[in-house]
Amino acid sequence: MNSNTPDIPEHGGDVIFSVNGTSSDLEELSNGSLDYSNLLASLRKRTIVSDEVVEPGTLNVLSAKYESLDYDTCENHLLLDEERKKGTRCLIKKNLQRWLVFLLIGVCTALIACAIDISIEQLSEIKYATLSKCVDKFIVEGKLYIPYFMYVCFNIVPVFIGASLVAFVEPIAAGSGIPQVKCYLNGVKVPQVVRIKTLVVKSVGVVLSVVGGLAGGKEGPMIHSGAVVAAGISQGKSTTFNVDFSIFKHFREDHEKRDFVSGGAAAGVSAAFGAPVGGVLFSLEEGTSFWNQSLTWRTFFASVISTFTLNVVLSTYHGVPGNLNYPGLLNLGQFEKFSYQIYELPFFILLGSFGGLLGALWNFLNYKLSVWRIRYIRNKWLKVTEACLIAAITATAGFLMMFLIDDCKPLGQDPTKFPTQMYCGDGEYNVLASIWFQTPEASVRSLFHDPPNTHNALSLSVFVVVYFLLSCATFGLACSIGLFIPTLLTGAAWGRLVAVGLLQLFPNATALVHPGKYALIGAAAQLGGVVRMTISLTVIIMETTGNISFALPLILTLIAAKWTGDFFNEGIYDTHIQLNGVPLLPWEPPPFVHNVYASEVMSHPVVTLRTIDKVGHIVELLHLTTYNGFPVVDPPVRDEHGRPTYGRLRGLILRSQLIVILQRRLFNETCDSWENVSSSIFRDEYPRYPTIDEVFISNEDKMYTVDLRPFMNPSPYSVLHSTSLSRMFRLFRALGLRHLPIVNDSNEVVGMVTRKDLARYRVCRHQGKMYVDELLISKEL
Amino acid sequence: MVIVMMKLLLICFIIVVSVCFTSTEVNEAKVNCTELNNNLANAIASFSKCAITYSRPIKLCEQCVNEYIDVSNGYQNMSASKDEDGVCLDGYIHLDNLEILETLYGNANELWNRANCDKCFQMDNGTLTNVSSVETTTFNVLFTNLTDCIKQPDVNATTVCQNCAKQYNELNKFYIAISYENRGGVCMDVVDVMNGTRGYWSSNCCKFRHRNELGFIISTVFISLLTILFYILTKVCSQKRAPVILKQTRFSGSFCNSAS
Repeated sequence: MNSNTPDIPEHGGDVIFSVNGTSSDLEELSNGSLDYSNLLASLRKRTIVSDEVVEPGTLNVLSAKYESLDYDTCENHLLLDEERKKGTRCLIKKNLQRWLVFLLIGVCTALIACAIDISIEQLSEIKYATLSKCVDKFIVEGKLYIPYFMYVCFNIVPVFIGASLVAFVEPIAAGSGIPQVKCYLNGVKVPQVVRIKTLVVKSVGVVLSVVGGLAGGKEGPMIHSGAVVAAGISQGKSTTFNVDFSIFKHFREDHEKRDFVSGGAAAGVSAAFGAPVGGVLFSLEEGTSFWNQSLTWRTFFASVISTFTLNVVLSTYHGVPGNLNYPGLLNLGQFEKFSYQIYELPFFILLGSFGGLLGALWNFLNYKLSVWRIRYIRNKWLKVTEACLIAAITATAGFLMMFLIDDCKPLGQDPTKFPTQMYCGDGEYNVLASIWFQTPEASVRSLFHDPPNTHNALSLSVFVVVYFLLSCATFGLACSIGLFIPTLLTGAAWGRLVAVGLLQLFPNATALVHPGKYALIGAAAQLGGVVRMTISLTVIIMETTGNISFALPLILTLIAAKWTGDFFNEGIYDTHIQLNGVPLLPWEPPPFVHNVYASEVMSHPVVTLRTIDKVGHIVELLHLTTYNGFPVVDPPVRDEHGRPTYGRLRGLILRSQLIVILQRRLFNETCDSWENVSSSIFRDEYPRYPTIDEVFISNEDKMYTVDLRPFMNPSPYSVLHSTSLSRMFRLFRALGLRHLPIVNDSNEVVGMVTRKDLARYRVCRHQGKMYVDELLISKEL
Repeated sequence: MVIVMMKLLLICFIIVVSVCFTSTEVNEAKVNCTELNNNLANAIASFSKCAITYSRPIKLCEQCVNEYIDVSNGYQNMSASKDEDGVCLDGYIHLDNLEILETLYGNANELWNRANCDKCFQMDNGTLTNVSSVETTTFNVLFTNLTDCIKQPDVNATTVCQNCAKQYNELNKFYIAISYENRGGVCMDVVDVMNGTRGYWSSNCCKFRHRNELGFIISTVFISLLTILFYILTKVCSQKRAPVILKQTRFSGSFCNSAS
């Protein structure tokens, strides 16, 4: 669904074409017209590639392959014509269709979530029931290696299939997908992120990875799936399957699609956690540029529909139709009532800081491992092998823990699905086996809700350490798997450990030291320390546990975790975004940049087109450059010294529009044979426009001329060369711009600013220092 | 006009209802509610005494079943009988928020139900009898077999595991089977006996579960080493890659270039 050749940087992304292949073209061009000499000089300058190289895996390099979405509507004559002709009826129809699409997004996201959930449950039930039986059968014979190898195989086989799917079919489906969705909502066109292929690989991959026993969850992938569903449904066609349902044609543009994707991500969160409000806040916190009231309302609608549909389907599946007790995939269960005292709040803050420390450590380790993967594990087969090895290590760690720690509890007191005896007496089960022989999600639930004294301190502390390291190694593998659950699990385990310790210190405080409460605080602190989300995380945890009165402790914990973690490094999603070199624009412009002016930031000689230009010239330009937006200017005049001036800004035209014009031969000389030219000609090609090489232009055609005025955006946002960086930043962030022409006092185009020019200025604020970093750009990242 | 009609209808209705009620009351035999209440009090008292007496080891179901039946009959009598003031039970419950009768009766009832005692006895048309159920009798037979075996003179702590394994396994299997059938829970008497037996058995015989697991340990070490080796090899075997930095073209740069 998402389109475009990935390696075309936009204007300002700079220097992609090589000199060698195109020098003859350049000369040809310069012979044809003297006026272009200026332009050619500028093109030549841009071909300089510096000798500098960087080590792969650094945080301060942007990749040139990412482009922006065209969030800004192009108000050309065709659009005005369309509006005049269709009138209010069309507008009302469009609005109604929007609601319908949001309804469908909610329903479909929930159905996919159900399918994932049910498959995981069925498959893991078979797996763990078999394992539990086998362990008890072979342990008396002294052949523990048989169930051990079975465990390893049960882990490796699904993970192998899942990882191969991800590595060979769709690499973008790796990981949780939240960083990718975040980038997309921020306005970055991440190649292939919202394609149907990605959805299939993601959903199948997450089932296989979770069944494979990896330390991960299905929540992050659910959010990504929601985003893909939204992007797919809203277009009413699939380029992959080459079907066009001829519906929702008005939504075939980046602006509408991004709005729908924000709804889809929210529906995904809502299905994953049963948290509709959290979903809305998630897409608001992570993506949307500004508070759009009607979009928020529709997003909320999609979220609620999603959790409702999931609830209906899952309650039917569990045999209690109509008993709506399954609002989300991650069901943390209702807590029995617990209270907190004011004097506990400082302690919660302390726990939050501790979570921040652990989170920062987790991020640091994962960052180091990711760098290792970027540098040394690039081969696809190596990636698959690595995933399989981690799956085997997971089984090994789990089995060794059961083997070495005899933590036995009598049967029948706690809800254990597959009690395994191991070395315990008859009528007892091994607690660690019961934790490992279930999905991680069920383990979180038992840590939150099991009565006090279920887990002893030794098994909990070993579990914390092992799971901390395992989840760290798992995130970033070539498997579609998220980090919410393992992080929650680690946090819940050490939170429970704290409760056990407190009970030792204050044996009388049993009413106050509720292990579930501390497990919740620990989980929130750990998660906050790793992902550093604030609003949406608080609301998601509040909604999944159904405990509103506990909001203040949660907020304090999360603030403490975020501040402590931010002292050391970035959140894990941001770290991965930076490793990929995505030009993400944060909420606020960097500080201390009011004295940086547009004239310093912009890329200087601008490749411009004239209002009426030769076809041959346009074709050459498209071949030569990789820019995606061209300012349209009046033909330059010469000043009193005979030097040509810059052209006066008349409008802005996109590469995609030029290609459609060329493809449909909308030339001045052929205007008799034009067929119904309207706005829809651009929407029909969306989202995958042909490249210039795929458009055939005969030599005869090259002599024709094109009038760009009806097609271009006649009033692009433009700013004076003396505008400060922070002003431009706010313009970009709030309006979702892609190209910003910079003009001088007489409205002549002197430069162009794009997302990468702004994202290059990144603020760093760690270890008490704060400075603005200027990033480098590389196309090979 | 309408209002008058309505009033008339209402009066008729009241008359009919009161006639009906008085006619039924006449048929009822006279009962003494105080007496019934005393009976219930005695029943609850003897049930409580019995329960506490047989709390360890738990023999609640077996020993107190008659007392429990008395309690539940007493309560039913009170709710079924009437004197001139109405149903007997209504004179004692829902009148204040202390609810003495309801609380104590509820306690007895809850204790019985939490112990799943109903499972120990046969039911007759939904009412509890004091006849042991088939499951309980079978279990008791198997348990007696085991205790007989353990009590044999030639059996001591070291030989019990070999000699009585057959009896123990039979008992254990049967117990697992009935606990699988009764998902809600097995009768507490049985559970307690079984817990005690298993505890005794495990403390003596479970060390035989521990065996030499060298094969297992070697395989875990092998897989761990394989992973470490993988990471080291990836570093050794991969070629280095160096992305090239692109140079930006800037306004200030254009002056330098044109000057040179």
